[in-house]
Amino acid sequence: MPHKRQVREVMIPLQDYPHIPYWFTLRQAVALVRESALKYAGVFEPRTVLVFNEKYQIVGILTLRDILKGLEPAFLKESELVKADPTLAIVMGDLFGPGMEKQAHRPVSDVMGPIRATVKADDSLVKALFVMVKENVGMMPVLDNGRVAGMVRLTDLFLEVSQAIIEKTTPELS
Amino acid sequence: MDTERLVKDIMIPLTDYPHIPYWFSVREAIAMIKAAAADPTKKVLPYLVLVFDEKYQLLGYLGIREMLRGIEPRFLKTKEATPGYLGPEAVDLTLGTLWRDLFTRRCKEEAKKPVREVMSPIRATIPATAPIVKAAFLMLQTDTWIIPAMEDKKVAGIARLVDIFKELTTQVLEL
Repeated sequence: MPHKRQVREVMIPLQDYPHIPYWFTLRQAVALVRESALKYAGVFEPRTVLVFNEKYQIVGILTLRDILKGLEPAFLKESELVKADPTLAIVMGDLFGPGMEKQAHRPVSDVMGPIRATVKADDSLVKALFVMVKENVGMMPVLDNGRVAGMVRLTDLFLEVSQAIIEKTTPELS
Repeated sequence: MDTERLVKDIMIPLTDYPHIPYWFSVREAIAMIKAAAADPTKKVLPYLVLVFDEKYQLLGYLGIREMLRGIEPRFLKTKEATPGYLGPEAVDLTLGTLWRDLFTRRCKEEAKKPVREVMSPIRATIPATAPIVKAAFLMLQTDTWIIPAMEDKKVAGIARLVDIFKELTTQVLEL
């Protein structure tokens, strides 16, 4: 029953999830994401990186979007050029060009986002699902005794709570 | 240069991505996602289902939020009832005492509704011949992780931001 199962049963342990200190560069973050994607191919695809401080306290979260915008800050600016050419045909060649080297050495703290929500490891799957949907996040840090123990994915929570929908016989649900 | 790669070079063909007609049920959409999740040959875990009409025209999509709305309508409603809403009473989920009332046997009945009742519109599409940078731009603009790739006004495949990210950042590691 989804309201009895706990988040710790479906979370990805922190040691298996990409995480870096805030002073690491975007380049290092890219390397970590790509390495994790290879290592855990078929298990999960990392779309975020947890960011920590010297005391191993979580200070932010870096998404693939943040990294792309950090590497190419002009990417999403609605410049007059973009308005004039919605197809971006003119600016394409200028994106992800020589300027990227400088951007790649910026610390992740420059572009990371805040943690919007967390959940406890012993919270129910349903409660975690509600928080994630309410906050519109696809992944969320899981806390155990005040420290980050792992990450939980919206997809995993949904697959668990919807299991009864698929079963041919209906177990006693309440 | 990797930025010159085209969407069709990296897209997942439509035949390999979950898609259903609009009259299929929410249950069938969920079953499709779960089957993909359980398939060891699948390198990609899709988390949404594309919805088509009889002519294979793209109508919308079902993501996690849409599927949740389909099986537990109270889940995404605020406590104040929407005027004219005659469905199940909204639940104040912040109380933390009603979790056990959610996702009960009633969900099986709710899941029989056709996907067209809960699907959301597609926010953007892109020609399969467009550069991947443009696809990434559109996905960032629309806050999406995937985008349908079109050929001759038909969906040919799906481009994913995670795949484009890998292409665009290859050069970063050489810096």
